[in-house]
Amino acid sequence: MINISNLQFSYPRKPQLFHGLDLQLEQGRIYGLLGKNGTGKSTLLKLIQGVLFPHQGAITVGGALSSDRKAAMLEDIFFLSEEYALPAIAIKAFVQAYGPLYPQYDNDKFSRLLEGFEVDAGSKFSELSYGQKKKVLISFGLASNCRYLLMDEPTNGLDIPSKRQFRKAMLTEFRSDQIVIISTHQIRDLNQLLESVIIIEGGKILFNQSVSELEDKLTFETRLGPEVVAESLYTDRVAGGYLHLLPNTSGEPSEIDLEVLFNAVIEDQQKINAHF
Amino acid sequence: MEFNINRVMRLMKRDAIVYRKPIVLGVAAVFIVLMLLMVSYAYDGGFVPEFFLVTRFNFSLLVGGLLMTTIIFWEFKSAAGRVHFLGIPASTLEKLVTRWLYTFLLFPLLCLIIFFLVFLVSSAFLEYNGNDEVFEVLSDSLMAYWIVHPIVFMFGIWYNRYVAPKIIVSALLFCLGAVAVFFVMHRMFFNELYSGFALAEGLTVDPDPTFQIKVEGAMVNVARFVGLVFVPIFFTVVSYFKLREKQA
Repeated sequence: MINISNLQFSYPRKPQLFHGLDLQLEQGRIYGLLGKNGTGKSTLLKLIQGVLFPHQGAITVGGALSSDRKAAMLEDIFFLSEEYALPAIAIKAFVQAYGPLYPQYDNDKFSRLLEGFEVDAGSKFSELSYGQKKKVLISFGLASNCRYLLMDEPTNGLDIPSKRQFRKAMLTEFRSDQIVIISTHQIRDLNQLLESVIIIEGGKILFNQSVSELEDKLTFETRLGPEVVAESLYTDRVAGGYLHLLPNTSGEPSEIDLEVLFNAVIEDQQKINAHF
Repeated sequence: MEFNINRVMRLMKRDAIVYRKPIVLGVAAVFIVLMLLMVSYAYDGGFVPEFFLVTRFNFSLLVGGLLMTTIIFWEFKSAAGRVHFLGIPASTLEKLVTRWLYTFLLFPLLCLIIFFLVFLVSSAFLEYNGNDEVFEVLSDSLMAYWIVHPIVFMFGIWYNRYVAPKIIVSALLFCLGAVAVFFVMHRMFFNELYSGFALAEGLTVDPDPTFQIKVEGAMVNVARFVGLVFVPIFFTVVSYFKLREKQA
């Protein structure tokens, strides 16, 4: 479990980023961390990994204080950052160098995942594009078998088939003892992957619900018109009409549109949260 | 404090794999340059000047070793590098020990091996002047490295970028400050020796020779303790805490 309590943090000479943020993340879930630019999504992941320290409050990962950066905790966390400093070596050398640092690392799994992403295992990092490097890191992260996977914009730079492969790999390899946090703006890529949605804004959690809860309480309907519907919580113009976010009165789940949900929460979080 | 020797070995293996290319190139470059110099001596009478290899070793150790120490935490140059290094699954102490071993033990050892190999190979075609003071000269440079390395190592962790220039500026400022403090204290305690800020004219100093020997002996012992024991321990402990509090 990841437990964040009363988190306060700011970068030097910058406004406060988190004001007493509280959050509990449970095992067996893939969390989507959504927020506008500069709201601190990447910072939150770095704080969880322990490479940044909270000014106040505490973050524990599996019971260990993240800022202690204990080896046992770091062996169980894999952080795929958006910008990475990769050595100019071959993939095989990378695996030889980093694999032994993760006690649960599975090389067969890595090879299988890399093959799925169609990356030649014999390549050097200097020969790979940004997206291909990311595929190597995603494969390595999943093969590390860490219980805590933190991913910052994992689908950025991936081509369309690779995004599908990413979703497939995540769903296949995800274990019930894991916690995956995916921070992203590419929410359409992850619509069917996420099990919980967390929206942060202004240093606070605006919304934190599981997808099943979301399906129970809200529904997304595309209608030709009119634009204004009395019971609609949020309306967005889409091709072929208007997409309405409505209270789910029928009990039938609909396909969740995370972009509409995100905009609705940002516009009026109280109105949305009132239904949970 | 967590410490696991297996993890340290794995970290060392990681560094050896990641930096294999620059290490091999560096070793090869030093070996080739030295051998070329040796060959040039072979064409120039076949005699090698006294202490030739030892002085080159000292230079390699003090300049090369300390330069390497300034960049040993090169990952700190960028935020992505800091995230990467700090997130490596090992404790702060294990990471510190790994980089310390590379710069403090392995680099001097590698230097010694290279120079010894050059000596062995070139002995086949060159005549060396035997000198009993070789080990004394070597031990002086190793002692200097023992004292200066922990200071440079700490600054290597402290500063993220331009470590070497920052260390030089810091050392200059420190020396200037130390001289200023020493001068002010001297001026305060030995007021009668001064006229304004200059030494009084016609001043003659006639110290008691036995007192001078005692004071000098005590000062050498204090300096030896400070240099060989206090400085390395103090700066290594500070290095640990600087690395412990390092953030992305």
